[in-house]
Amino acid sequence: MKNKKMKIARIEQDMNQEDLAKAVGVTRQTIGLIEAGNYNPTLNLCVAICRALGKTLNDLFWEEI
Amino acid sequence: MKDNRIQDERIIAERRKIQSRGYAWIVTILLVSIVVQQFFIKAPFAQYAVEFFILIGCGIYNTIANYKKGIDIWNPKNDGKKKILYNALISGIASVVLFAFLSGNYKTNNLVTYFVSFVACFYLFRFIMIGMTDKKQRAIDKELNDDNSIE
Repeated sequence: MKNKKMKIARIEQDMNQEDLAKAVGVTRQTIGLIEAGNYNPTLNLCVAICRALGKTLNDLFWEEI
Repeated sequence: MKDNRIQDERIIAERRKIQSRGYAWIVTILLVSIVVQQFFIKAPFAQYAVEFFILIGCGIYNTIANYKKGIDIWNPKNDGKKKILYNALISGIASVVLFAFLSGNYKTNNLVTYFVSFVACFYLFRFIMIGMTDKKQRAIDKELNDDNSIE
C-alpha cells in the first residue's frame, strides 16, 4: 500500500527524496520504494524518517482500519 | 578513519539475499559435480575430494552457525519420535534407491547394510542435534529472562 502520508510530510518539509535519503542515511531508491509501498522499512529506519520529517510513527506509519 | 558510505538496510538485505542464493547455487553445483564424478565418470576419490570436503564443511558450518543462534533446523515443526523415525525410513528408502540406481549395485546385503546404517545415523544424529538445540534454546531463554541482563 502506498505511503501517501510520508510523501505529503516530505513535501511539507520542502524536501525531495534525495534530501530525505541523505538525512536518514539510505539511498533515494529506498525512500521511493517505501513511498510506493514496495518496501517495508525496519523500525529503526521508520524512527529515523519520522525524526527527519518532524512526525511521529503514528502520523506516518499507522493505518486506520 | 570513519566509514561514510551509506549503510542502506534495504541494499544490505538485498545483497544478503543475493549472496544466500549464490551460496545455495554453489552447494548444489558441488553436489552435482560430486555425483557426476563418483557415479558417472567413476573417478577416484582423490579427484573430487576437494569438492567433497567443501560440501561437508558447508554442512558443518550451517549446523554450528544455526546451533549457536539457537535456531532449530532439525525439528522446526516439533514432530514426535514416530514422525522422525518415519522421516528417517522414507529418507533411507529414497537414498538406497538413488544409490542403487546411480551405482548399479543391486546386491541385497549391501543395500540392506546401507539402509540400516543410513536410518540409524540419520535418526540418532537428528535426535542428538534436537537435544543440543533444545538445550541451547533454554540457555538463550534463561539469559533473556534474566532481569539483570538488561541494563
